[in-house]
Amino acid sequence: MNTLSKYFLLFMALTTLTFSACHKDDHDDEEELITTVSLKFTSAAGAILTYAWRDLDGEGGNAPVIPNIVLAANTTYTVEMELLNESVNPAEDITAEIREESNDHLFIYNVNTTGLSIVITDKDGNNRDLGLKSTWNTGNPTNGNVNIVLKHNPDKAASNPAATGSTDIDITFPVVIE
Amino acid sequence: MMRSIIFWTLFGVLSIYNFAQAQNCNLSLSGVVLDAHTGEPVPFADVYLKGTSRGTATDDQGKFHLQNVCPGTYNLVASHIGCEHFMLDVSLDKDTIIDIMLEEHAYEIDHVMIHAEKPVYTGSAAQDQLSGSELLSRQGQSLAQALDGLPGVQMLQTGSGVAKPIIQGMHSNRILILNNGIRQEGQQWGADHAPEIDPFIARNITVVKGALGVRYGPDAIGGVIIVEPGSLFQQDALGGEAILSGASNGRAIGLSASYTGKILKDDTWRYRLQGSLRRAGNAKTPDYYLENTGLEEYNFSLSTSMRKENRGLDIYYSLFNAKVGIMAASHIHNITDLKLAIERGRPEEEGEFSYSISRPMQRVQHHLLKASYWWLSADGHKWSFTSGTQYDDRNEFDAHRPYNELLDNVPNLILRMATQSLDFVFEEKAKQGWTLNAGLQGMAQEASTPRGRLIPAFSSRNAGLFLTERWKKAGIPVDVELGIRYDVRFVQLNTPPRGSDVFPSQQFGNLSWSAGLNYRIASSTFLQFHLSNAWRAPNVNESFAHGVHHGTASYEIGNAELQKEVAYNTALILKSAKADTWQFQSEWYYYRINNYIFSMPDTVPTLTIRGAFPTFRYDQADADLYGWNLSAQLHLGNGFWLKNSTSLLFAQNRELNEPLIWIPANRTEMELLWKKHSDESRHNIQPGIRVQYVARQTRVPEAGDYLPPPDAYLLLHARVSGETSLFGRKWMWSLQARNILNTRYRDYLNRLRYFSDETGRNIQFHIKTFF
Repeated sequence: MNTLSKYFLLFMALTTLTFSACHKDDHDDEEELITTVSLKFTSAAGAILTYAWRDLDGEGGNAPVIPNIVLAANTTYTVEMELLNESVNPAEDITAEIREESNDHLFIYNVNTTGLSIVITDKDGNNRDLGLKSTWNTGNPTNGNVNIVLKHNPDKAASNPAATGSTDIDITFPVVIE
Repeated sequence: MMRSIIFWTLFGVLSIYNFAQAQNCNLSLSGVVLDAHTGEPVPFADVYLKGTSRGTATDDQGKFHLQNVCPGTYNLVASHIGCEHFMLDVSLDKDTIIDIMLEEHAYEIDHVMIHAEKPVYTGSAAQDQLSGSELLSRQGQSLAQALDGLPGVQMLQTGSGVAKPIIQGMHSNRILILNNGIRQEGQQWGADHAPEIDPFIARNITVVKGALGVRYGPDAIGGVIIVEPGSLFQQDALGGEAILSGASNGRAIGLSASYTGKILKDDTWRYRLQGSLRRAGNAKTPDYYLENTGLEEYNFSLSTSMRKENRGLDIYYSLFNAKVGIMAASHIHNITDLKLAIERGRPEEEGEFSYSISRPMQRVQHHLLKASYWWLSADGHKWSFTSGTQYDDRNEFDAHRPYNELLDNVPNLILRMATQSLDFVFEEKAKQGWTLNAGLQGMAQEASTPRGRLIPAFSSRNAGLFLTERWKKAGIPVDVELGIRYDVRFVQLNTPPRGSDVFPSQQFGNLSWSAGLNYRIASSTFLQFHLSNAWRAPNVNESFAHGVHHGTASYEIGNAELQKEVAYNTALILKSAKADTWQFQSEWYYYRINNYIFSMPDTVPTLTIRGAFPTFRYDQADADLYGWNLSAQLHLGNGFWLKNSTSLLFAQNRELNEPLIWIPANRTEMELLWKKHSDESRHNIQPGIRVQYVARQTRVPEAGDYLPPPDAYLLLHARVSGETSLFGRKWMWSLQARNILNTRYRDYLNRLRYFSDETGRNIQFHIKTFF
């Protein structure tokens, strides 16, 4: 075997060694998740109720935990929404970022029950609806659900903004009015 | 409209120019074809000048003689029983004698020693090859786009920027790509992961169809794509060449240049530098621009080779570097958005022209380092040793900009893969017509997912051992080849799959075999038959994926119980040609694939904070695939040729008794081409007009798709190509018009068909020169 072939075999051996030496798992799991949508209900009397839709392990895996929202009949609640990433410690609050980009976001409340009406009470930079804050008025006792959708880059001027933009959140709470 | 007027004017001018340039064409090219192993003459071998109508067959002493050839540079091809092609670029300026020996050795041409490489031997499988002007007119696009339209070859697209080749209905992990002799190991599994290869690098691309597990190892089920940069020691390799390409749709521009030079005075060492750039902006359908469909690519390669009488060394490095925009409208956030997008029927934002690329997009880098050494022992056997080192880095950015601005430039998904392969091959010198080949192949792979959770990190080890024996004797019209191979694969997960804290490992093994027969029925009519099997282990995404695929708005769940997939394939190929009169190749094939892996829609959707996603689980079942490919040309007289290419394919899931999903629809195309005899013109101008018909795919499973397949479509294309000498240089050029009528259509195999039409009219040009 000539010199060249010797160098060549040495080169082969080296590349093989380098390969077996490198690469340990380097997963960096700092993903931006929204795990939790929390609604804080305050009645005129000052009573506070909190209900949170939670999927702590993100998409897939364990199913989300969805509580029933239980409200008193014939009552007005002011509701504040909080979006959290509770997969990290301490939990990350994403609400402020949505508020900063309020022109690009819209919450849509679809009420699928009688005896409940929801009105958005906060505005974006263009004085159009945002939806982090709302007022819920309950009627007589009933059961149903409320679907909450967060739209990113919607056309808020459109006749049906729900059909525009892309969806960041789309969750449904069962509602019991008693 | 303006563009087509310019095109047809140019077309007319060039044709007239061509007539005016009659030429002194009285050279002769002759020689003898010898079997390098036995030294015996090879009778009835076909010898022709590629891209011209000039060709002949050797007589019973192996001699050939071509008269009235014009001066110029030609690609000389000699082919013998089966597909063993010998190719050589020859410059003719006087009567020339060439002795052709079908071996990797020195060849004597007119008393000048040059070297040529042994061509790809593909046994008895069907193949198509692209080189010279045919390859040139397909460059400046992705690999899949370059190959689309070859018989039995289509593409799976995600918009205009991402395309994957499909061979005989199979793609991704069911086909194999050999990049300069090395198995391409990237992220083939994803339907939106295009092969990380720049076609500008290639001087030759061969598509081999069939289950070729013995010769090429696991995954070679549908076929193999062989991308060859060309030997540094080919004749005419020295010097430089440059290609400029452009396209009106997307205002695409491509530039490629390479230079090959000598390192040592005695010319035993050479080097080559090659680089290319590609840029395209938003593509346009007949009615609107497709937002964010541009791409940028910067690629380069360096190589050096040593050639001595009995040994050679090649070292090659290439870098592929691409940034590709994905049409924003196709990046779906949940099933409600998908439904809305489908109802709209066209993108919400109709955009305008721009080269800028934003989210969603992909950024991909692929490095390849190859080193190979071969030597001939004193008794004439050839030994070769090849090492391939690859590193693949894929970054995917979702449509959604993160709320935290610091994460804006951070990909949502990073997939990395490092691969080291070693191949050791022995080729015996033929003894009484018998040739033995044996080899040992090993591969180690480390894959990680630094961001995102779609697939876990894993390590894998593959090893394979093969043995083939070929019998071929001069003067006997039949040759046969038998082969056997054993492969093993180990996979060890380095992160646990979702919802688990164990690190599973898997082990697979398979015995592959092949039998091939080539029969020369008449002087240039061949019958090829092969029976073979090939296999693949389930890919890590099929076994362990867990996550949302935004491109398809689906939640995919892997199945750790999946078994290996084994394909049994048989094919019958009939090829015949009569120089200057007709030529045809008919390929009939059948596959039985046991444990064919596919994804099945689940009845229970996956509920996430972004809404419900349809769930797909990987499953397997036995499947049948069969089809027929035809390519034929007929000389109508006066240089007018009629060409046809037809592909039919039927694929059925035997257990569910329903068709397989995403199978190419039947298609046919007809081209009227005018090829002037090269004896009368050295410009070799070839204008042609082509009609392409793609039927509606009527065979689809009941569930698993959001929309029924789109309607059939008919497109009109035209092209003209030629060669000319200007400023003391040789120039090759082509001008093509695709979808001349700006027809609105959608293709079943484009995953963006739910959201937008296909791109409209496109005028492309290519200019190549040598320096």
